[in-house]
This record gives sequence, structure tokens and C-alpha cells, in this order.
Amino acid sequence: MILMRDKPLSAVAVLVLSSLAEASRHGYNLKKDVAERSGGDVTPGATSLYRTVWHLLDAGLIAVSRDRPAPQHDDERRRYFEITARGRRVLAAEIARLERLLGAARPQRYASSKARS
Amino acid sequence: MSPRLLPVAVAAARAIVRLVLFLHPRQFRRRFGGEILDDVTADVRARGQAGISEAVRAGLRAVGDSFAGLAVEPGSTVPPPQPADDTQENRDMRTWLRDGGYDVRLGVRAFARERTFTLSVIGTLALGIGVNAAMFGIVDRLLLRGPDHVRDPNGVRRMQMSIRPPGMDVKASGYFPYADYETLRREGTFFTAIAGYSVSEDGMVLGRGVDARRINRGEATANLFPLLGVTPRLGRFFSEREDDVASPEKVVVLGYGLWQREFGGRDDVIGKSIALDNAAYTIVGVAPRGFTGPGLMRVDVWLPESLAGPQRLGGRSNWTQAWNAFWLSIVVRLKPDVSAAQADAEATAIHQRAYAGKTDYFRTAALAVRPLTTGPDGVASMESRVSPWLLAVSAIVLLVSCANVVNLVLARAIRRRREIAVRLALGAGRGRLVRLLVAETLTLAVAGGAAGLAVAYGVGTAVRAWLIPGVEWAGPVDVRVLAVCTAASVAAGLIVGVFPALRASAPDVFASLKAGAREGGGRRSRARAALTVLQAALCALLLVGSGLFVVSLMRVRAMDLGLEPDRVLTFSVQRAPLPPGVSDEDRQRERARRLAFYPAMMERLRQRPDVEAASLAIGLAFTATFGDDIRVPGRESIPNLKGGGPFLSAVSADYFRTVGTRLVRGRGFTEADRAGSAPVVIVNETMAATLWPSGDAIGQCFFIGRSKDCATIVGIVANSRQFRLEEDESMAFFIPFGQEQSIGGVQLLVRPRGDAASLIGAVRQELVALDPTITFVNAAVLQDRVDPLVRPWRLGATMFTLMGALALVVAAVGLYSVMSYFVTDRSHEIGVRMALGARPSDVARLVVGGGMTLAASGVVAGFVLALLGARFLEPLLFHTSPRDPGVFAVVAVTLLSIAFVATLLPAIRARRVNPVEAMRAE
Repeated sequence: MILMRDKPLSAVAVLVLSSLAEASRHGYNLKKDVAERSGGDVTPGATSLYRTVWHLLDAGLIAVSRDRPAPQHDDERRRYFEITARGRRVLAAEIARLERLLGAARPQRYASSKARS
Repeated sequence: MSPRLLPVAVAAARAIVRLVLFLHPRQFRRRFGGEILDDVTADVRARGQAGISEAVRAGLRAVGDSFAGLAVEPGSTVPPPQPADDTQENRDMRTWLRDGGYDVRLGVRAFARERTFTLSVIGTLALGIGVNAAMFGIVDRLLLRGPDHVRDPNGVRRMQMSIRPPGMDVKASGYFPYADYETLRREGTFFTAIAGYSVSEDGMVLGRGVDARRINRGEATANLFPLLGVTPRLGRFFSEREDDVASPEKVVVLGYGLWQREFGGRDDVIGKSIALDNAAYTIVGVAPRGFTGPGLMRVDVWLPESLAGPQRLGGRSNWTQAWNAFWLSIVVRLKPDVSAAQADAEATAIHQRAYAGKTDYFRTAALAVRPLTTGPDGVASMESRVSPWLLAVSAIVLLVSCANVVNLVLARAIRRRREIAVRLALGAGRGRLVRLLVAETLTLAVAGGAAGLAVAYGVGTAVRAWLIPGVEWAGPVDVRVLAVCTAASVAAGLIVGVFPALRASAPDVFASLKAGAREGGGRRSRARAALTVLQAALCALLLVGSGLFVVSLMRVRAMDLGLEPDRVLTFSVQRAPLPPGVSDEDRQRERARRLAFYPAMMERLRQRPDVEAASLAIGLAFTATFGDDIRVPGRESIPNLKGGGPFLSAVSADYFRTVGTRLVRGRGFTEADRAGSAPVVIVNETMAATLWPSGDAIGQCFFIGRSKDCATIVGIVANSRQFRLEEDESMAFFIPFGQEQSIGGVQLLVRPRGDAASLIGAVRQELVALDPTITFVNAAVLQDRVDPLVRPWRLGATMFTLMGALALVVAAVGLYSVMSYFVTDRSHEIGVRMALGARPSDVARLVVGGGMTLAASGVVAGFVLALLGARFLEPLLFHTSPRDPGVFAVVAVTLLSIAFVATLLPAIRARRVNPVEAMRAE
């Protein structure tokens, strides 16, 4: 579903992908990073975050990481997630789509005034 | 941040999230459940550093999010991998379960949208389920469960004695002389264990002076506790040695409640001393919480029987051989191979052989073993006879609620006909649809059950406190009540869900797809009409029951008892016993002082403006009654009357005015009738008519007890009741206060001019002020003694009325919704009628008439049911026919008026239908 051509990724999904694009993380870390990254606009709770993670895993956009971080940072009970090559492609495509959308949505007058200044 | 609260917040959040996770797909729950819970914990902990409110907020957010997670788009299109050895059946089961979870989720989302519908369904079910759970809790306590802490309560039997006094019916009692217990224990072979006990309400005074108050006293033979199989909370129960008849020891086992109240539940009470009836007792143990012995009344202290027995019999040393004092309840555990009949025969034989008393009908008494629920007086209590009715009544309320919810669900199903038709057209199986609809109503019913627990708590608490006091209740909601609540919810959910679901899932797909929500479909409105009739019928049934009980209660209240218990305050005083070693002279002086106390007190009381009359009495109806032998010159014997007697009271001047008994002829006592004056007597009407049938009893005389003087009759008073509201006539006579010989126990009677309750405190103060040696004043309105006798009718009247009112409200809402729906559904037809010339009043009449027809049919059906059930209710009523036409008439009028009101609003709406709009809406 997430890959359906005309169906955008949810905000949480985009933020999860971009967070994992930087580093692999475990769920709780991911949750905090998503909230931070969005400046507090998107703060998923545990359940909805993992719902998204579930879908992303099933769609093959992310995977459970086999590499563990340095032992002093490792939390053994937790699974770490990493982005897949397919996930990177989807993220890039989604960002491009969003930028196009943004460009189209921005009022032209505003854009031109911006250009002028 | 209180460090103690944080774990609570964490645990609560985890528990709820864990529950909600069950609504999520199993796959998801399995893969991420652990991590979600870990994260919730971490979240709440982290936020909790900023304060408990932050922690709670974080917890609530986590819970809210776990619900919100349900709405996250189902993601994967990849089917979960199937293990190779998985059977088709397993897969089917799994699909079924997954879809079931999906159904519940769909239901939750749908209900969140339809708030009014959801709330009315949950509210109605909560009432029905809650009331049932509360009633079950009561019946469970009174009849089913048996007393707490008793191992295998069904194996414990209570002994009962049946006697047949000459000229009377057989009377059963559960009270025995100690001698019977002793003999049975020695000679009986039918039991593995036998014990005696007795519990008396307010039977003991705890503490001294101002702090003194009455507590419930239990006395037991030491072997009671092993027989019941109870373990003490603390310390031990008393031993055989401490309960030795020859040398009992002053030891006491505290009840759990008293231990908590008086000693703060401290462990070091063992070995401490406690003041009971002005004597010091040593505490040896504490009974476990809720332990009430074989009965159900709260017990504050347990004393050894060998200590309590002689106290009861005025310190007689041969009390174990007294065959004429009955107070001990006897319980046994039968040997496994002994039948009840064998036990009865053996016990009877032992009793008849051993009886050494003087009364023939006690010698020929029959003994029997009975279940524990029989009640300590040997007969099934009125409460336990009424309570199955309460269960039945509350079941009817649940039925009415269910009928109403079915109605609401049907209406909703009709609104959703298009949605359902679309699902069917898209290929949903009928079974799948039924399951969807049932899952929805089950969800509702479970929510209703949860809310019902709150109702159960409230109703249970109220009923217990107001209507059945004197029983030691555990909390109103326990595990068994919870189980019943759950079962009732599921049952209600199935009843309510399956029927409409079957109907709704078989619509004509094409017709429904074509039409809007308008076409009614006569079949379904017939079903709803039938449900409405059913509700009205059940309501009528309940209201008839309630009416009959109310009439009974009114008749009980209005009954002429021969005295006016609600206008009489009774006081009695207790003083500390004289210390040992007091000289005889001092003893004499003290006795004289105590005798002088009462006349002085009378003087004081009569001067008070708020006292209408005051007097003294030894022997008073409903409290303490005495009898004595009499001899009438010229008569061989005194006839035995069914009501017993003759009863004897010693009363001072003004007695009859104080208690409100009518003087029929002659005079009452005056201050001149006293100790030493000429013996006079006043008899009641029955005694006058029985012993002197030919003429005037006044001026006649008879001998009382062993007195050598013939007491002259100076007056005749109206009969009054002695023990019960309804009893056979008995002979009773009154002698002047001071002339009594073998009776004692003075009660001070006061008839207040105004409010009775406020006078109690004032009189109490006067008493203590006049005599500082008084340690305890026992004060009560005489009505308190009568109230327990009225309670069964009050219980019936209150509960039937409450349930009837509940059912009425539910049914009225049901009728309203049916008629509203009728108007909405047929607005097109109404529009056409109006366009064709029907006036608004015609339309309104159509609606009101429709509703009233339903209600009236229901009333008729309910009356038929009530008449069929009449003979079962008859024994519970008081001088009231279960076919009382007045009650039926009032019920009919009430129900129909309420039905009228319920249809009025829809009727007004029907009048306002605009024909043009209604017809254009097509």
C-alpha cells in the first residue's frame, strides 16, 4: 500500500525513513528522533510508530539491522532498524514528490516576492 | 514526584495498552508488543521526572495512541508466511480470529461516530446488567455462598427442633438448651463434629462510661472453630480448657472489624485486656476478615460458651442442666455415610430420652438437621424468601433493557440497510456479516457490563445498607459478581446481536440498493412493535408487583398494634457491679438508692415541656415479655390460647397513656398503686372475655404466681401485640410497678411531645446527671424493634418499585424511539395523507393511536402474566390479594399515561411534516 504510486507516504513514514537514512536506530530512539526532526510537529506514540514500522518492514523499505552499534551504546533487548536500498529510493522519490507539491502549492506572488528580496 | 505513584502510573498505562493491543492484528502484537510496552514504560518514566501529572499525561497519551494506532492504514499486502505443516483448518481458524478482531475494530470506529446511539445502548445495558449483578451479590450472600471462611459450608448442618404445644400448630426453632448440646455431643454417633454457638446483636457493652457502646456478641463452644475449619487472622481461638464448664477463662477473640476500629489492626493486641460488660477479658486471637461463624450477622467478639452461658441464666451454677432456657444454636458435620433421615431419628431419640424438663411438648419434640441457610431461628428468613424474587425481578429489568437495545439496534440496522446491501453485493458472506453485527453488539454489551459494575456497586451498597442491615457484607462487587456481570454482558450481547443481525443480513439486496432508507419493510416494524409490547408487558408485571407490595407495606404500617411504637422512647440503664467485699450494710444502702432513682427520674422527666408522658415498665411488648401462672377462684384451669400467655408486665402510673394503649373500661394505675398497696391488676380484652365470659371482669380477682393475695381487676385495656405484627390473640395483664415479684429489668418509657430523636440525648444526659454510677444508657425508639418485622415488605416494596420505575423509564424511551422512527420512516406517507386533506390532528392521532395500541396490548399481556403468577406472590403479601383490582387499575393508568407522554413528541413532529418537502425528498 505504501508503494502505491498515487498514494503519498504518511508523515511519520517519511520521517522514519529519513531518520533511518542517517543511522540505524532502535524503536525508542527512532521515536525521539522523529519528534526532534519534525520540531515537535509529529510525535507518534509507541503503538502508531510501530504500526508504521511494521508496514515499512513488510514493504521492504526498512529491515532489522544485523550490525550492532558499539557495545557501550548497545541495548541488547532492542532491535535496530536500518533503511534498505529500496527504502532510500522510495524516500528520494517521495521527497522529490513533496518538493514538486510544495512548489506547486506555494502562491506565485509569494514566491516572486521572495525572489525579489 | 512521589516515587510511590510512578510505578502505579507505569503499571496502569502498561495494563491498558496491553489490553488495547489485543484489538490490533496478532501479527503486529507478536512482533512489536514487547517493544511497545517497553517504550510506554520508558516514556512514562521519563515524563514522570517532571511530576506525577506529567506521568499521568504521558500514560494517557500512550493509551490514546494505542487506540489511534488502530486507525493507521492496514499496510501489508503480503500475506503472512504459512508454516508448511499448517492445515487448512488452522488457517481458517486464524483468518476467522483475525477477521473477528477486525470486526471489533470496525465496530469501535462506527460507535465513536454514533455517539447518541452508543450511549443509549451502553446506558440501558449498564442499568440492566448492573442491577442484576447487585441482586446476584445479595442472593449469593444470603442463600448461595454460605458464610465466609467455612470449609465446605454445604457439609455443615444446623439442628432444628419442632414442637407442637397443645392446641397449636407445629413450631420450628433453632434454639436449644445447653443440656441438649451436651447430651448430643456425648451420645450422638451421626456426626463427625458438633458445636454450639449464639450471636446476639448489641449483646454486649464495650468500654466504660462515656465511650461505652453496644457491640455484637458471639459465644461459641471451643470446638466450633475446628468444625468450621477457620484459621484465625492472629493468635488463636480459645481452647477446650478455656471453655471448660467448671472453670471458664475470661478470654476473647476479636472480630476483624472491631480489631481494626479499636486497635488499628495492630499485631500486639494479643495478651492485652479489653473491657466488656464492665469486666476485663484477655484477647487471645483475632478472627479473619468477614468471619461470622455459621450465621451472617457481624460478630465483634467471640467468648467461650462456658463463660457466656451462666451469664445468660443469671449466674446459675446448674446452667448446663437447665432444660427451659433456649438460646444455643447447634451445628454438626454429618458422617459421610449417614443420611439426613438417620441423623434426624437418632437426634430425636437422644433428645427424648435425655429431656429432664417439665414441659411435655418439649419432651416429645422432634430434632432434625437442616441446611445452614435456614437461619439461626430454624426457619427460612423472610429476607431469604424475598431475595429470589428480587433476582427474578432484576432479570426482568435486564430483559426489558435487552428488548430496548434490540429495538435500537434494529433501527440502526435499518439505517444501515444500504451499507449492508453494498457489502453483500460486493460478495461478503452472510456468516461474515452476522459476525460483524454480533461483534459490534458484543463490544457494546461488554462496555455496558463495565459501566454496569459501577451501577452494581451503587445499587448493591444502597440495598445492603437500607434494606438488609445486620448482615456482614463483603464489598458489593466481588469476583463472583464480576463473573456474573461478565456472563450477563456476553449473554446480553448475543441476545441483542444475533436476532437483528440475522434479520439485517438477509435483506433484498436489489430493493435496498435501489431504495433510500425510506422503505420501511413491514416485517421489521412488526418485530419492533412486538418488542415494544413485550417491554410494556414486563413493565406492567413489575408495576403490579410493586403496587401489591406497596399496598402491603401501607397496610402493615397502618395496622393498629394496640400501642404506638413510633411515639415511645425506651431507656434502660446499666451500672457497674458492686466490688466484692462490700459490707451488707453498704449493699442495702446501694439497693435502696437504686430503687429511689426511678421515681426521682420520673419526676424530672414529667416536668420537661417536651415530654408528654413518662412511665416505668418491667416487661414491654416487642422487647422483653414475661409470663406467670395464675389461678382464678372458681376455675379449674386456665385455657391455653394460641397466642401464648398470659403475659405479665409491671407498669407505673401513666403507662397506658405513654405507650398509647386504649383503656376500655375501669381505671389505669395511679401513684397510689405501688409496692405495699392493695394488689390490683388491669387485664386486656381477650383475658377479660376468656376468663369471665358471662359478665364484667372488673371487680373480679385472681392469684398471680405464688402470691397469697387475690389481685382485684380495676381496669380493662385494648389488646396489643406482643411479638409480631400478626399473631393470635393472647391474654395479658398488668400489675402496679413495685408489686412484681419474680421479674426484673426496668425500662423507662417516654412519650415525646415533638421530635423523638432530639429527646433521646436530653434524657440520656438527665439520667447520667441524676446518677453518676450509670455506666451505660440504652436508648431506642420502640419502633426500632418493630422495624425489622416490617422490613420484608419494605424490601419488596422498595425493590419492586425501584425496578418497576427503571423498567418504565427504559420502556418509555423504547416506545418513544419506536414512534419517532415510525414518524421519520413514514414521513412520506404522512405527507401524502396531508396532501390529500388529512388535518394535523388526524396525523397526530395516527401516531398517538399507534403508540397507545402497543402500550395497551402490553398492559393486557402483562396483566395476564401477573394473574398467572399471582399465587406465587400471595404468601409474601400482607392482607392483600394478588389480584387487587385497585392496584391493577393504578398500574394501567400510570403505564398508559406515560405511554401517552412518550408518543406525544413524535406526534407533534408528525403534525409538522411539510407535505411538499416530504414528497419532494424522494
